[in-house]
Amino acid sequence: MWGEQVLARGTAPSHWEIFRHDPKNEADRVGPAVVPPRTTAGPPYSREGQTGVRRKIVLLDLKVEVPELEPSSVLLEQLSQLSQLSVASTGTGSRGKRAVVAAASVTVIAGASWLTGTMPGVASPFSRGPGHGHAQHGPAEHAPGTPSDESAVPYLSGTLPPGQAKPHRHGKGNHTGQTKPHHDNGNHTGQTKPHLNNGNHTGQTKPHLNNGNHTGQTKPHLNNGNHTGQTKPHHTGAQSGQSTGQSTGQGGGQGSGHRT
Amino acid sequence: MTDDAVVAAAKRGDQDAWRALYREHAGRLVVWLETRSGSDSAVAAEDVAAQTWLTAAEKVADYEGSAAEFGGWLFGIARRVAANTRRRSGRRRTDPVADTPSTVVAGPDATIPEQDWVRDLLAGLSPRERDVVACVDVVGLSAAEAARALGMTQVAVRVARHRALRRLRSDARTALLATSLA
Repeated sequence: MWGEQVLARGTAPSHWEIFRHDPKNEADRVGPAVVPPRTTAGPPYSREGQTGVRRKIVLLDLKVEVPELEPSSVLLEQLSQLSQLSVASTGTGSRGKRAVVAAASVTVIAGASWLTGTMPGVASPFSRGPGHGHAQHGPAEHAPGTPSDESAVPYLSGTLPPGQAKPHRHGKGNHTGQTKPHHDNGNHTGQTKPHLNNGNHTGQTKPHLNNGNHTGQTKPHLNNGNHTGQTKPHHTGAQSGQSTGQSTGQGGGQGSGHRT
Repeated sequence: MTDDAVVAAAKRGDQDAWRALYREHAGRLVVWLETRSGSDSAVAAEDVAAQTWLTAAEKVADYEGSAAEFGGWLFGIARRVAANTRRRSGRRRTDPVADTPSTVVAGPDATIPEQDWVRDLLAGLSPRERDVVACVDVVGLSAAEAARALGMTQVAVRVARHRALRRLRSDARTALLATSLA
């Protein structure tokens, strides 16, 4: 405390020195104003008897004369008005009240999530078991006599505008606007993307069929021995037969021509 | 902690109460702001002190304590006001002036020559230690008031003050030795 230093300033022991700046003497800017030594002995914690060397303790007097300022009338008027309008902030509520509000908020959010079925892992009480919520309708069966294979459906001739799927004939009729018709068999498991699980998991992300035939080639291709000599034969519609015929005649000599 | 008569009257808007609080704390608030670290030369300590008093009048309803303890709360407001002012001044673009004016007008701080010496002495301390020493040893706040003003615990205030004074004593001892040798 500052008061202790004030007391020590007047009654400092002989080995204490008050390091204080004297504003009147600028030459003494780094020098101290030494307290006159006392005739009495030093403080009881002096180490004179132990070391034989009296250690000087420097006390710093950092006290600054504080001027007494007088407020102006305008400032006093402002302070008075502002203090009259001052209202205690309400942000210092009790912890219990805030905990109750937080718990109520969590409960409301969790309940709403449970009721709407958006809480993961917990089914909504409004959704019944599988087969109750949706109308059951079996997989689409193809009527006898109608073509069941999509590949067998003859595509309509002509061009389609970009972005529109080709109209095709399905077992239930003709769908012209859907690019990927959704087949709903009525079984919903709650998963966003149900998949068929037959219990066989290989641990591979993408198992492939291995029939034991490995050619060592990265991309085996069928080589029937007929090489036309062209690096990249292409099929150009009406002119295909003519071009391949010429190429095979010159390169392979077979003259039969084939389409790759 | 209950308010004393001065603080209760100040909360009611009594000008005499505010005058008493101002006389007791305004002077050392200005001194403390001038000796603090990071003070911008473009922003006078008196401006920060005036803004501090206005903020204190706005928030006086939140204060609970006596008029003697009002200093710690007031210095805490001043510390935050000074920090905001320093942030604003950091964003402000200033261009250095090539030619300085030849005539120097003495400011009000020139009336206290001891502050320059104290400011130079505290320049070797860290900002935290400088604030503590300026609060406790320069303007005479108690450890509790300094802790409230600086947002520290009283133990932290005492530790920082102890380290700061030990370093200052070492520097002063070196200066004493240099003076005696010269």
